[in-house]
Amino acid sequence: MTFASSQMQVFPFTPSDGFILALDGLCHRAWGGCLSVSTEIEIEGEPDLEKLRWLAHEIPRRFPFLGAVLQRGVLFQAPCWQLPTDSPSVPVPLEFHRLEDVSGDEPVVASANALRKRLLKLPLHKNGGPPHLRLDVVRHQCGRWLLLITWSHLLLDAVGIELFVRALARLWDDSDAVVPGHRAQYPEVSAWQRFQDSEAIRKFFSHLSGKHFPSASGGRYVKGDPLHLVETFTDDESRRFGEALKSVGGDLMAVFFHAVLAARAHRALLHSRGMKHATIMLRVPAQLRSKTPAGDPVIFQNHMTMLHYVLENDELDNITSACHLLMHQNVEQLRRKHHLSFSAFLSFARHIPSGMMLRLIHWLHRGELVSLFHSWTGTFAQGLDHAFGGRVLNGVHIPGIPAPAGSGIFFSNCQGRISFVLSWVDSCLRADEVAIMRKQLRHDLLGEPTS
Amino acid sequence: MYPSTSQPVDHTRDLEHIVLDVVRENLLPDLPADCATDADLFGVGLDSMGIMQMVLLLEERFGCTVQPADLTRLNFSTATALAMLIRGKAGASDA
Repeated sequence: MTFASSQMQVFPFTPSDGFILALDGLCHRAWGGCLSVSTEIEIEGEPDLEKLRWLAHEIPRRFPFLGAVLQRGVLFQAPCWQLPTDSPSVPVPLEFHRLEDVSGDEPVVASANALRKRLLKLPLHKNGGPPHLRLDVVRHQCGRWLLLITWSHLLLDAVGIELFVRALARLWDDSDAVVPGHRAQYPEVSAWQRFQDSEAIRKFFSHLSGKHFPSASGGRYVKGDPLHLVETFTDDESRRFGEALKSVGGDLMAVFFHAVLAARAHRALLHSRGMKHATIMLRVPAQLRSKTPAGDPVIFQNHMTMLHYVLENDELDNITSACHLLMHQNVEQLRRKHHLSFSAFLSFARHIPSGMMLRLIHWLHRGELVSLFHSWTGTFAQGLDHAFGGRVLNGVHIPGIPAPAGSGIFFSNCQGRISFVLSWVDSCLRADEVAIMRKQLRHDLLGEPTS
Repeated sequence: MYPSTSQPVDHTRDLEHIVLDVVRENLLPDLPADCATDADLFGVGLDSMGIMQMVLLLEERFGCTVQPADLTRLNFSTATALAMLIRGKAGASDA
């Protein structure tokens, strides 16, 4: 089968794209949608509706990769993206909304939360093709509005969407602004070479297969809607959070600190289910971002590898020592080049159909992919204080996550304020279990009681 | 003072420039040859992955064990700051 034609540009899957495609399939199985994320930016002032409509028209023209179509290929042929060179430029979907107590002509939504829930359920790519992302504007109180960019994880990741937001902000201020090129090509190496390069991580997986790291879904494929809880701390709460981080080590320990907090919240869930001695395993994305020939970081590219953290129940009793343990695990994985080995493994795994890949993982790890999904995305679009006509008040990524694992905890900050997002599939967590995880997070972050 | 487990350290150059060379060889190949030792490494592409790789390089190339308290943005922001960290660690171990 030949992908290329004179009317097509062909972009091979990155190593992590195959794994993301398998997760996308799990989301489709759970709620009929896709692995999508809603990036929510709160902006001061009133939205300029005409300019937003202009932006929706401009996006596909300036970012032609959003017209890419997934080509799955035949058995054991790695999928790729096909980019038609002559496809019409269709505006990305854009809808305006308002909350009931804000006057206006737009349709009313009950809450931003209700809208996010609806957006995360939408299939963003039809037959693997556009639109891949959509825009929604919500006027939620006088003098403040929300821009929600809901995007498919197949084309973007959190770093990519923040680069995209920066590029949109530049376009907003200057319609002639140059935006980064869409995607770099990746060097291909032989399957045999990739298999050999993946030896270190395969040994690690073999060691891991003796452990049970139960997730919220218990390793089951389930049906259910994607739900989420978003909390942004006040300035004072965020300052207290900063004090807690200082007790652990330097500010760059944040990546381990957040991972431990997520693991402890999950441990609280497991304890409530009577699992007092379970291992917790996190896969944390690590960027190996490519650059375009012009030297710009690539926007449309998923992160390329992951690091694995394994914590036994007792190792999570003390936050500081758990953070130090994760730092040690991180350095040891880099010493053993696990990050490169896992990337080679993912690159090799691209050739395995999603369903077969999931069955293999199911067999190796009793159905579990990971204990819970987790990431710390740092400062939202660092330095972007003003965008789309107003001051940026907050920015947060809200992912819908598949089952397994059935739950995920994500952290970020914006303008010095910390946000956490708890995402789950509704059939994987009961309301009281969500409350247990939330209480544990607030206890660890702010010293609030857990009972 | 700065033992190496892989490549020998060139003692004819100052530590700040040796650190820059290590960063260029291992983490940021696009770093200009005339990059200043006080240039912001985060500004030229040092990311969280690069920081932890630098932790490993400090250990393997300079015999310097980075503790959690050393893991600050300030310590990793420039070659000058990294050199100070290495000297501080060497001084502490000599004392």
